[in-house]
Amino acid sequence: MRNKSSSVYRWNNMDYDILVKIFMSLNVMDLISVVSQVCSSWRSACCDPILWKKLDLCIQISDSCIYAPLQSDAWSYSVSNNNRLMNILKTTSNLSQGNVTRLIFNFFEYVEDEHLVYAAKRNRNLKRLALPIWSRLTVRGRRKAFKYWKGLESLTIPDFKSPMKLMKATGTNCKNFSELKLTCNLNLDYALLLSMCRSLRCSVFGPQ
Amino acid sequence: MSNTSENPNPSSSSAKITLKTSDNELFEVEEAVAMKFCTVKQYFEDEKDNDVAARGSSTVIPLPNVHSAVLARLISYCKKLPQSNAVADNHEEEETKKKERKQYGTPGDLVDLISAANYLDFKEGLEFFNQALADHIQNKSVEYVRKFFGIKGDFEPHEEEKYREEYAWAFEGVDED
Repeated sequence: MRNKSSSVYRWNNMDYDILVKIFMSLNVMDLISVVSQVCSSWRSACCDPILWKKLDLCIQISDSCIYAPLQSDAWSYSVSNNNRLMNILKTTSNLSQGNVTRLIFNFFEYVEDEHLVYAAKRNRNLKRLALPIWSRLTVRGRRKAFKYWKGLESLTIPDFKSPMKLMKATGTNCKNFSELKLTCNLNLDYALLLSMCRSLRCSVFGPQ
Repeated sequence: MSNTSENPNPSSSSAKITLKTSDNELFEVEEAVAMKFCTVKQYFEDEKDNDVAARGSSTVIPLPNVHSAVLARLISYCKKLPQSNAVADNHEEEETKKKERKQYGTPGDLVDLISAANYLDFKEGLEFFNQALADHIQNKSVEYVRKFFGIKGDFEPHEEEKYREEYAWAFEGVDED
């Protein structure tokens, strides 16, 4: 259609809005490992807030690991996994510049205190958080992280001990908190909790 | 210089709309096809409001930002559009779609098609061509992408090195090509 040199020229100077539209069909791994490093105009389009509203860390396994095991924690703990998650969090927060409002952690990857606190510090505008596994998090770590998430509205979490304590922490810090999604059975503790927080909307995804 | 697009059913009485490209070529297209381009649709409706469209197909809609070669491809793509907009529900279908997207795969063509689809506000086309382009980014290396799109890295050497180091962990398991 056109000679090559004109297309070369145009790819370096492609309209910002069109680039953003194109990048919307890419996942987070493509954005951080390819797009952000091609050239300065691609990198600046790659930082557009619209691309980072939702940060879905589940996506990183979708292609490379089709036969994902069905239990949580299946990717046994290792230093490299731990670093990997930290690296992803660091890299994405450099590009997203605090614009993430929805953060979804990976069911198969350990989330430790340092990850959650780092994510909290760098993504303070978070409204929705999905944390499908949190057995490695300490109460202290959770409390520290939630202090940064004042605007949090919705939380998806698995079973946890003493829900009262957690709700107290979120209640004091997150004034707009209104939705709790549980990936476990609804036991007596939760029932009691819900009867006390009437404004809270709660859904349960666990096995019956 | 008239360039009438083919009509599989000449007896069809559907209304035609004439589009004029940047290089002054005239395209007579079916209304149903032209209405896929929201920019044209908007123009057409405005004309109607102004009571000019009573002249019907004699209205020529100018498209100063679109070259005839690009418009011809957009129209032919538009005619091939599947009736249902259902998302590919199995792997095989996705593979077929991928192959189809590859036909439009040269970066020079894509930049023109995407710019034109964007100007015409042709949603299905934009989505399709964007995805065709995304196919060449997914799971590829920075070098491959630069080479394929003919982009020159314009970072300062220290920036380039910084980004490299920062993302060194991410370069495991990318496609070879």
